[in-house]
Amino acid sequence: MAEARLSNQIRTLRFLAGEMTQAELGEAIGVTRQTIAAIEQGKYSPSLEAAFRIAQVFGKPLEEVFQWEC
Amino acid sequence: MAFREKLAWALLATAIGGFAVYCYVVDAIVGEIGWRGPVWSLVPPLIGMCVLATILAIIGSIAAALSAPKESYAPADERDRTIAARASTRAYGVITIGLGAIITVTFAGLSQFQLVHALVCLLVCAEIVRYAGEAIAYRRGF
Repeated sequence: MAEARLSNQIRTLRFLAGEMTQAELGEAIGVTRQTIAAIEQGKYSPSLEAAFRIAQVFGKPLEEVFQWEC
Repeated sequence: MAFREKLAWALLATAIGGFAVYCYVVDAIVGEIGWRGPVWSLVPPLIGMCVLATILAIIGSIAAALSAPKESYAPADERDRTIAARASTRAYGVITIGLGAIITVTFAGLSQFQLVHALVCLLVCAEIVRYAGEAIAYRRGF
């Protein structure tokens, strides 16, 4: 089975949200700036709760923020 | 580099440094009295290692906090907790396997001196695995 990977559009969505910083997004969902950076770079897969919170901040459904690439 | 990653590297260096000094002293003791000496002869290097490791850990923590003062006050978030939990699980695995090995070897006639030394080595190795696991997880992701 091919290895699946979680990708995301957080960088783009931050840009579209008026160049929101990683620190601002982190503060909004209750994680550090480093954790947002790790999520953006695909180095960390967030919990379901954090993923929903991120989607909520951008006012997007979860699947528009995170994609499951097979 | 994030505060908690710096802290993990600092504590890893501390554990390795303290353990290296301990091994150096124990090696000198073994050179003098052999592997079957009195177990209390391990107490001075053990206390020395604990004191040295504590001092180095304090210095490392202060240095890491000074380089990122705001971050040092922030509570651990979900990623920090996950990294810590994964690293602790690995360390627990080391302790379990190590204890099994030590118990097995004890039946082969391990002296008290060797037994205490092996247990100290096991605990320090587990700590090294824990801090290394944290530092690597912060650096490379997981």
